[in-house]
Amino acid sequence: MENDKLIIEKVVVNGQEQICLKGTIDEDTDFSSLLKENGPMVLNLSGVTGINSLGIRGWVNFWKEQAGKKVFYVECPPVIVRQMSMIPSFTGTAEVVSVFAPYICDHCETEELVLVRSDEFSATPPQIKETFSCSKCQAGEMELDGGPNQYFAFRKK
Amino acid sequence: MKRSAKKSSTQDQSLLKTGLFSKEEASIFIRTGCAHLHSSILGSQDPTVAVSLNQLEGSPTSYSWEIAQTATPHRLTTSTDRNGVIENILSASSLAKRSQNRSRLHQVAEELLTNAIYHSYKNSDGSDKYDRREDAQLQSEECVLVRFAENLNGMNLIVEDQGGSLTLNDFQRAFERCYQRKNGREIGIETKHSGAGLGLFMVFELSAHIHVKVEKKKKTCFSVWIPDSQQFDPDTFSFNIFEE
Ligand SMILES: [Zn+2]
Repeated sequence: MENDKLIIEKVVVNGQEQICLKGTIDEDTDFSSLLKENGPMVLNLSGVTGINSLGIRGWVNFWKEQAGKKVFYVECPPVIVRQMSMIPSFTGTAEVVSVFAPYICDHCETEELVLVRSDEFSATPPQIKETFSCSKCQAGEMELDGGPNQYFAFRKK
Repeated sequence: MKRSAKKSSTQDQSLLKTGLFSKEEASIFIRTGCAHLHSSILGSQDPTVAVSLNQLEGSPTSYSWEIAQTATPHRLTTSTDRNGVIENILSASSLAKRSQNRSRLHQVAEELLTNAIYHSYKNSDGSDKYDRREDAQLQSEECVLVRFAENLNGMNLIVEDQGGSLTLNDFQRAFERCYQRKNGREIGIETKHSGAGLGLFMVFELSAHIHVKVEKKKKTCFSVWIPDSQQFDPDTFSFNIFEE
């Protein structure tokens, strides 16, 4: 059902049931506990910290077999966004509701993740903050770590 | 070794492509047999092109980005040591203090180390000697060497195995599957396949420069340049595989 590298648990956020994945997805990940879910599934991926090629393969093949199921990805962290951009079948038929965009301070290198909703990242160009003041050093500007076209490449696929 | 490289240089040079490509366009050239490809706004004037031409002529010059060549290697003898070696590299890296660099370096290192352990050593029938579903304990002569160095612009990771079995064809098959899916065709990731191909595809996507040198059945040296995330330019990359 799960191993010590990936924890799968149900939580309720603002009245909505979400399935949270926390940890790394690899060759040892067993997705079968997700099969018990009926109806639309909201996967909160914010806790995913890593994934390797066998994890991607397992993920893609698992969701391919669940093709009729309505699945939503919420709060996708950068490591998941990167896989979505590289490998379109990683997203499959799921709907991406929100992703985290990584910002970094040009002065003190503090990092901050900013949540971007689908209506914002689907716009051309993506409607995201270009810069904002660093709350830590108060001297620098936070900017997206990497170009927006590169980061949001999954939109085109 | 030099002689055979010289002998085939005319043919090899005709397979050297320069210009400005996307990774996906580059993959098409590679799938049709191109072993040397440089994408740069400078075209054929890009200094890395001259290095490739020199190498094709048998002159052992190296690319300016291969700064890890003289680094002290980490030695890897078991699959379970992989994470330890990767963590050592990450903790010694300044660029990897930033999560975007750290995460890309981690992903590339994991795929290269896994391929080196599980897909470079072969049985006499050509099958993989070590099963990826099990822990692998390499023989002493099979030790995988991992070198790392960085500068302000990016990170160079070099993974050397003593199997020498990687070929251009491995990249071609990997790109065939992975980029075809990209074009919207419904091709699943093969369940039987050991996963080496997807790993190669990921390394190609996440790196700017790749230089692979294969001494057949002796050694593979897989060198990649991962640019700092803030300097990443998707149009500037190169791919070179030299099979001897
Ligand atoms: Zn700051």
